Amino acid sequence: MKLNNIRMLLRAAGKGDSRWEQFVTISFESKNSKPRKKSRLVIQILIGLSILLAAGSMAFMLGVNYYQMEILGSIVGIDGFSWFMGAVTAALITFMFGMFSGGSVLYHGKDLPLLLVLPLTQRELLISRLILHYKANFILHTILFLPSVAVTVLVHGFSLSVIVAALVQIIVAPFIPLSLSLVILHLFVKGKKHSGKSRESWAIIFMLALLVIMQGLASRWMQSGMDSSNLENFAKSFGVVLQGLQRVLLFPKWQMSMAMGNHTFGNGLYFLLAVSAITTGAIFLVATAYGETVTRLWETSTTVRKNNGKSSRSYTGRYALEWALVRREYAIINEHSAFKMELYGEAVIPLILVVVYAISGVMGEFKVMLEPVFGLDIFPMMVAGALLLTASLSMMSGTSYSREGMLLALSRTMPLEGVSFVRGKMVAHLMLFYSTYIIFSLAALAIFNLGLSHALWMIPLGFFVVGSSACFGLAIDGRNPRLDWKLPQQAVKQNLNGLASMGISFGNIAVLTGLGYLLTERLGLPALPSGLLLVAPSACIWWLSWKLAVSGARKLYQAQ
Amino acid sequence: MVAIQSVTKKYGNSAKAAVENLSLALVPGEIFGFLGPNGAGKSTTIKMIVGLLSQDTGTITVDGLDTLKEPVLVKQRIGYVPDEPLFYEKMTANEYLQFICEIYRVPNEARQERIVRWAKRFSLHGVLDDQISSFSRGMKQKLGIVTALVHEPRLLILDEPMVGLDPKSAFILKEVMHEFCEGGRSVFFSTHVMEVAERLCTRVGIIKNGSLIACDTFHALQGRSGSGDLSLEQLFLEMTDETE
Repeated sequence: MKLNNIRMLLRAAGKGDSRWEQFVTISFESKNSKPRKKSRLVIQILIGLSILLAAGSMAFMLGVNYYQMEILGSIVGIDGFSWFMGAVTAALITFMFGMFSGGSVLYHGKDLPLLLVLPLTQRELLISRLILHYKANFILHTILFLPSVAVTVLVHGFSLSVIVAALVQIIVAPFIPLSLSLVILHLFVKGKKHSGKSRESWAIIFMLALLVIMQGLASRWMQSGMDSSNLENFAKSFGVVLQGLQRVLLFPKWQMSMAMGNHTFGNGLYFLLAVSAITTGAIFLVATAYGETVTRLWETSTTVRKNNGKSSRSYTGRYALEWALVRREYAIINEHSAFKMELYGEAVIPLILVVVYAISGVMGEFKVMLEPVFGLDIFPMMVAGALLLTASLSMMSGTSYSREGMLLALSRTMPLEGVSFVRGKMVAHLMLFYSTYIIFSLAALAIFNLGLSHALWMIPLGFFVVGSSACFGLAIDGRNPRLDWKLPQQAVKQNLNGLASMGISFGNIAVLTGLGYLLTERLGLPALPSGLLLVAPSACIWWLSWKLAVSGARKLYQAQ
Repeated sequence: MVAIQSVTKKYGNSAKAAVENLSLALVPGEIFGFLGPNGAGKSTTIKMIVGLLSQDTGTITVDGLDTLKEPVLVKQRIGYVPDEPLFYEKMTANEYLQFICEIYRVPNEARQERIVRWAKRFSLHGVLDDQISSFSRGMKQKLGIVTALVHEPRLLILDEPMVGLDPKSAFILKEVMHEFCEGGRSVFFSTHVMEVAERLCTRVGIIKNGSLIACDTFHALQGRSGSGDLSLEQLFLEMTDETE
């Protein structure tokens, strides 16, 4: 095994992938235009600040949660519980993201066919991919964990054990969830039936089901162990639950003990040995047939047959062109499991949440929590706002041009105006997110017994808000699409265009929420006329976003 | 059919032009071979005609339509086979061709007949319902050619069309190119295969370092060189200074 080869592979894979380059891209710096230096600098500072603000508020919210855990832990005599929770949270989310990115990095990288013909050993290739897998998830793990370090320092002060434990945690701990993701992916991907990508999708569905079941079991177990008859019993039973958690979850327990100076060396040694054993085992498992699996996946991906001789349906009718473009949009999404899982998953977030809460047995608690606001005039608006937020939590349009990748060159040879593409992409977006919004809205109106009359404003409002979300996304991605991706993840999850478009969509909802508050709480209008009044500004925002999307597409599709 | 007038194109801040002051015209019914060493500016010229790139100066018209002012109408008239075939690989060949027919507004009643006719011509009819991802390089190239022909364009532009084709398919493509021009339509293609250009083209243009250094019939080029028995390959090497 030549280390130089691995180094070269990592350098090649990372070329053009730096976060800074993405940041410059999102700052609308076009290779062909010469924007004024000052305005570019202002845009870059604004975007930089908004990214920092978003990251900072997320870290702050996590920190607050960890702090609450720390306080709860100290009540029952467990110091450093924020560390424990930080480690668990970071591991769980890294495991989930590792499942999403692992398949792309290890088995479906666009550069793999090129690498497979190079004189590289299987081991060199695998190690380079594993390092890429680690690199892709390291930052996320660190961001999720660091607030717990801050809380620990705040509560217990600085110490050498905290520094050592933090370093070990940040560098070594990601190996646990990533190894687990590798093992699950490998077990599914190495199967011989079905195409590689569908096997990977099954692995991710398995992972989601596993997380939901774990969450459900954990919640039920915690609830069953709690006694809230009085404060003393509550604290006692909570202590039992936390101690139970520590008995089951040894890794975060060792990490917490390390940080708290409780047998730092011994716990650190246990932790490092266990992580080494798990990581080595996972790597050995994957390595046994890595080259063979990758080669077979590429073979199967080129021998798949579809339709079994049945003739394809032709596009007819008045809106045939739009349908053709919509179908094309879905054909692109269906090319990669990373696209499918991300976008189809985003469309059913409320459903996933309902399932998770139902399994966890906390639906009843939600109902109790919501009872005080049921009768408020603004309640239907709160429901609409929550559903619009989840409908806007999407990278569908904000990464639409980027997902086309090199195929954008094909689109540019088509005899169509930019507006046709925008129309097709917006319809595709609405089909996925507006249709689900309508279903969820009607279901919410029925469940909360709010009266179907609210659908009169919720449905048109949803159209304009989800439509604006689509158009703002297209406007952003159309200006500087990320086309030269090697891994599908880079086109979607690691594409700042998608994040920026979500931010603008949330801003749009915030503006409308403010207006809604003004109408109902300040002017005292009932929800129904207030909702109807909100449709007008939302239509204006949609019109503006449409213009931006069309102008972006016009530039994108014209000769460069 | 195609008129390129004083066209210059530079990439980014490069001091050197990829295409410099290029002028040439294609008349209806001719097969025009565009030859040149690697990096001479062939693909850049083609990409400017099909509307992927814009020229810095000069004009390009197709059927009298300016490529920058009327890009959609120009694209409607062109069938383009790129040097690297690109497809939505999860579609079947038939789905993809139906999609192209829709984009180019091919009448519904003509679609299936045209798809089947061209697919049969290039021996693709048996795999029309297969996903494109299962195709070999040659099959993809053939599908690219069928895609360019299925909407019956006025001008066929092919960038290195023979790459990846088996001998039979290459022969069929040459036949198709001849038939295509019979109705007054034109073919503009780039190639490195001199024998093909020599036998097939009504005229050839040779580009070097972005400038057109020759543009005439093969026989006229032979006459100009003073030796009547030189092959196009020898003429090409002589003109581009690529002989030993």
